[in-house]
Amino acid sequence: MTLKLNYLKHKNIILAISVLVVIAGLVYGFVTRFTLDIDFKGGTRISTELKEDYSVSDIEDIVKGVCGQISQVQATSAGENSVTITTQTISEGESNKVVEALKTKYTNMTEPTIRNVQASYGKELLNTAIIAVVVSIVLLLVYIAIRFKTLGYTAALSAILGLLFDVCFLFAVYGVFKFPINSTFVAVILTIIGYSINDTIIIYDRIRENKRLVTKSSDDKDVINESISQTMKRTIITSITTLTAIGIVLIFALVKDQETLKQFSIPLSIGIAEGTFSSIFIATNLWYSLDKLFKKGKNAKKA
Amino acid sequence: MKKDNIIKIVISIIVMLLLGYLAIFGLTIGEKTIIKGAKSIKTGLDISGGVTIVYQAEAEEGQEITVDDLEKSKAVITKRLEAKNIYDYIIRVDSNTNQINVEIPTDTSDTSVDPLAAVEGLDRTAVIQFRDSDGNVLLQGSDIKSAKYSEDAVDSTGIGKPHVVLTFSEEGQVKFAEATEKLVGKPMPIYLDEDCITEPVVNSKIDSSTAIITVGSGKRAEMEAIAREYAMLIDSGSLPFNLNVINKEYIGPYVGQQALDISVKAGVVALIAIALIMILIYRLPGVVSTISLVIYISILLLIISNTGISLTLSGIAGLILSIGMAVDGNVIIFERLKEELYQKVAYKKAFEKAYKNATSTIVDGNITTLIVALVLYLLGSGMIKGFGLVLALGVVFTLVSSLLVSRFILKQFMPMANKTTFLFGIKKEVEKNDTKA
Repeated sequence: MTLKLNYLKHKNIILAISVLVVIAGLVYGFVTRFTLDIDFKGGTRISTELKEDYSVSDIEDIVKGVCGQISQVQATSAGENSVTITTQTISEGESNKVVEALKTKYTNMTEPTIRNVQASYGKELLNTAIIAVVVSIVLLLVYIAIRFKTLGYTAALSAILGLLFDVCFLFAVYGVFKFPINSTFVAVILTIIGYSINDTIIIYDRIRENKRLVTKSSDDKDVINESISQTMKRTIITSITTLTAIGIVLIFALVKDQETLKQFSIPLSIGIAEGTFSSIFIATNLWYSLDKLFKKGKNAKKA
Repeated sequence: MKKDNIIKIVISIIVMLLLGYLAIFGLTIGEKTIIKGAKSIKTGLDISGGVTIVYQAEAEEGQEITVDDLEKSKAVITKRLEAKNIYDYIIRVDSNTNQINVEIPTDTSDTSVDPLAAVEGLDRTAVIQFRDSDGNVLLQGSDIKSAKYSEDAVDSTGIGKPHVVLTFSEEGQVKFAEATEKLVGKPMPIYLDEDCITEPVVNSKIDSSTAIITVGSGKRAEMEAIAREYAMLIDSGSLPFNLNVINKEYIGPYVGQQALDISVKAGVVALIAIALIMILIYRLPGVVSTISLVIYISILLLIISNTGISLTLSGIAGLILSIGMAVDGNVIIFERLKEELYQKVAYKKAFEKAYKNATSTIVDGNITTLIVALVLYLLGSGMIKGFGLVLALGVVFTLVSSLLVSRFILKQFMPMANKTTFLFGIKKEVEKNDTKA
């Protein structure tokens, strides 16, 4: 009843292709620039009272038409049909042009206030996220090294490398799809880290259990293949149920054309599929290779 | 199946329905809301909008406001917000104009509640001073290491009373001992921003690292509110300058109510879909996992609505992850159970073995995630702290759900495995193949 395959057969090719894909995505992202949200980069904020009914998409179109920027339009309570329009930092000339264009459409609007927003909030969010992730990684290393002693320290190291791969992959996804880097991005990354480490641990757990059954084995290949096979059904079913949950959000978002939910559910769906992949083909593969290398080095020393 | 099993199953289903009902509608007796339902869940700044307040820092004569001062006051305000269980905030500092902009979520549709009530005290300078009756300052904020709210008994009556426990720094303890030695028999008023909050009379020299501030008498709820406010203000430290509110207005959401409506609908559909998938694959155990999943989600919703944590998009991400992990716990157990049943192990033994093996897997998987969640909660701030909190709660209840709730219900169904393996998702043909092999 289990899918018995040799999961380690093409390990080096799979590893190489995966790393290349991520590097390509990252390079593409850096060359074509990542899209940073206003709180991560600073921006310009225009507040005004329109004094008449308006539609958000009209205003977005006006801003886009004048300076090519995507804007965020929020209603405020200050007066009659007040709005705050936020864009990436634009020059004074450009913001004046935006105001002119708005005035032609909304003739009664009041003189707007224009101010620049500093990027400190986003930077801080990213900084605390990075510190928290680094500390968690150190603690995870210690925990896995202790709980999975029989697998050697290389197991802990490989699990963490798998997580780093997840993070890089998601950065690449954001670079390619041009999703804005904002607090949602931070949440998606943290979610995938949580999902992927759980996946890796479950495979490790089975390897640990099966290694106890095998008395002496020169190569862990069979044990690993057996363990991945045995956990494969669980891996698939859990991925399907989790993907169902987030996939339904995605379908609703696509049908209703809800931009923010799309930005949230697309990378999350991709990330969950990728997290499953990385547990088997990055973390476990890497562990096998590193473990072999490590043992070889030890034997060489002995001899 | 024995009668006992059936009774336990029925009880489980009743508990599920009851918790589900409470999670959605809450519990209101007469006019009083005892348990808040899903409708009371606060939604975050991104989903429902909130209030934005601009504070202007005002220097006293001869004082210059530095960037450091602004950063310090930002840290103070952050601490005060988090003491109020508000994690979903945005604080922006503008060093050109010396303004601090705070955005927090409020229910913009409910105008009966003053949104500024939530930010009460944020802008208080909160300078604490211990003085003698001539007005000389004996101790001040920098001598105090921490201030915590407490309800322990403070006198010989043994009846608990709301108060604040101050812990002095080493230097503060020395100063406090000296001051109390000098003031025996005299009052030592404590001031917070020029308001005398209490005026205790010193009985004897006190050489202790802690002291308490009582809040007089009155209604217990009022006393508690005052004591909590004092603890929050003193603990977060004082602001380096005065803050004046120069602008406050409601802001609309940037994600929108629509996003929440969609998420709720999608959540209901997803729950049904997951239930169907699990029942289709695992049959009876699938039904068990559905019952425990509904219990699990109900408990999480009850916690979120009753603690006042606001639900943001990132919180929803944390919820989806923990639901995924709760289902995972069940999948791991059921797969193990199937493995055992295929090997024709007697159902009682199969059940015990499946749980024995699955427990270490589930515990290890969840503890690694819990480590991440706790670090995010402890080291993160704002949105990251909120995410960590939701995830940590989710993981803890995942363990309860898969290792206790599912186990309890599944155990009641196990005797049926004697009669039919079909209900446990074991296919006949495969069974034959396996025995041949």
